[in-house]
Amino acid sequence: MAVTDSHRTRRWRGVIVVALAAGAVGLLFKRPSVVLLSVVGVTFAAYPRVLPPPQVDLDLERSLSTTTPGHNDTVEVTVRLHNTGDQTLADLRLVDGVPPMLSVADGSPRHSVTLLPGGTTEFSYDVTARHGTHSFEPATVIARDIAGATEVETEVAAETTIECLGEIPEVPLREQTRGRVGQITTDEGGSGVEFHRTREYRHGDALNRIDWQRFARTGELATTEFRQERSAAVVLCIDAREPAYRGRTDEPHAVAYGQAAAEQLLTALNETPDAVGVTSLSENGDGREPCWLPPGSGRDHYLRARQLLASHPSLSVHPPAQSTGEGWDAQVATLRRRLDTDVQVVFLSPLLDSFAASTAMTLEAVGRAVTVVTPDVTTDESTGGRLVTIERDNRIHSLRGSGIPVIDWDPDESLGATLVRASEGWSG
Amino acid sequence: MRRSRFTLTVLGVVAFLLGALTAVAPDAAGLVPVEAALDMLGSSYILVATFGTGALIAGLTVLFLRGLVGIEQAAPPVTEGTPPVPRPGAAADTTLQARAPMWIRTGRQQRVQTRLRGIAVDALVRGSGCTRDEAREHLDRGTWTDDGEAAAFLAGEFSPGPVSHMVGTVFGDPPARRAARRAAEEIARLDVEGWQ
Repeated sequence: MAVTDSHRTRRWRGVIVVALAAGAVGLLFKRPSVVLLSVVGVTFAAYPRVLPPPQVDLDLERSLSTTTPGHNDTVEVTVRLHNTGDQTLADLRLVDGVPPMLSVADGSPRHSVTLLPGGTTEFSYDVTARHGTHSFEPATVIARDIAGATEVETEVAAETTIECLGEIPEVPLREQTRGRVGQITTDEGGSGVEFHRTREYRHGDALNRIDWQRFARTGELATTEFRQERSAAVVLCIDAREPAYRGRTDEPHAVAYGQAAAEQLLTALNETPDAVGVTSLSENGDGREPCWLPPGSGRDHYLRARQLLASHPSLSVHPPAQSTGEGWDAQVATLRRRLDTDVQVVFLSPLLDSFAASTAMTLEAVGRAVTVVTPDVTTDESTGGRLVTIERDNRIHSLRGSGIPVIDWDPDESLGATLVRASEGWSG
Repeated sequence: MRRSRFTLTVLGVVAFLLGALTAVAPDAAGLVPVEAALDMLGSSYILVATFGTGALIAGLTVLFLRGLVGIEQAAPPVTEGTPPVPRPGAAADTTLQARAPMWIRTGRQQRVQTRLRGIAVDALVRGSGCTRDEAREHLDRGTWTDDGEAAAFLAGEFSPGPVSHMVGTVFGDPPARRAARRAAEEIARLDVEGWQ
């Protein structure tokens, strides 16, 4: 529910001084007309006490040129404001709640108008779409009386969302699987579609798996085995510690990109038999404790995971106040305990500090297959920026050297294309 | 407080209306015994002085409060851009451009040297395919760059003379900071152009 704050601006504080001075001069020179001047001061002093504060009853509608744009596309936002009250709003100012990770490309989300009862006003501006799901925040409305002496500040909401989520044709998962049938091709022989090997016939083998050509050639019975396809349990782990809240000027930070990547991976995995969960590494305190949703499947689970990604405090778009590094080790230890041995981790981190790389290595070392998806937010604008770029490249090299696949994602490209290219690189 | 304000407002309005009435209908001035009141005070200037002093004090108070707290009006939020976060490398830039006193502190030079050396070793391993030991040897011997100052800094052999230190510090560019910056720039350059 919107919080409404009504208060005096004290804009005309001291106007009584004008009245007193005019009155005094008028008396001194015995000029009633000058005394009459004090009417101005009296009017301004009395006005805010006589009239009630503006009654703000507004209805807001927001329409978008497209709700599913691509990254860097321009989206036109049209805001329509309707005065549903019976009072004229003499001085109405509105600031639209542009999603925090989007920036205004053209026009302005601010609007100022006088709105009669039943009146409507409309304005437009453009935003640049970025990866992820972006919900508009309530618009801030400030209404002042005609003298500007009393002010009412409130919010008007209209649920509007921009979904900039590219498709992911295939999530490149590791071969760590569960016993259930799925889509990940394993090195185990059995039923499937990809040829694995032939072995000696055993009693009970299905007739359609007997290698009849070989029988015709040699007279020996052999059974064809295919690579078994199993499902995986995956936990998407977003690095939301303070060192991950870094970004290029006027662009989303790496945590927002990690969140966007997690949303896309979650949607792609939801269409497979794989179970998927969500967690985060975050700063302790300020209610930012890590989120945790164990791997699961089904529509309800998917919606719960989407909700978690969209609203959990540990994944806030606003960076934490400060970082001491306290509790990071404990969070990784807790994560290790929570992850069953057959669960694999997709770690979404910009790899801007050594702890991120060591976390991936720690989890890999204890038998949880880790894949790192790392949004690149580095910049070569300065010597410091170039040093951090080199450090990150070093970490990627080191992780790959340890057998951990790293997907280096330039957010100017779609994640799907980057994953496909990475898969081709691994299989080629 | 509110009641007294209301009372004062009513009194003020009544007084004003009376005043306005005398301006329009001078005969109405007889309703208020102004002359008698002035005779009692001795002079109309006392009345003016009272009003004037009150106005002056109130005016000065208002000016003081206005300067102190300004107008109490809502500040509309800024929603045009993304929330500000540090740019990757901003902290390193701050260190490499830090003022002289920061570089005089014990341990600062050592910490920067350790970090730059770590970056250079890993970058050399990645870029040239050598082992970590070979990379360290490159750095110790200073064979990784032609920049003597950068090489000396990463080899841990950078020790400017007291005069050079003093002159650099006085002119705002301590030798240790300059050497660290040159080492950082060399690492960045070689990582792009290829290690020797």
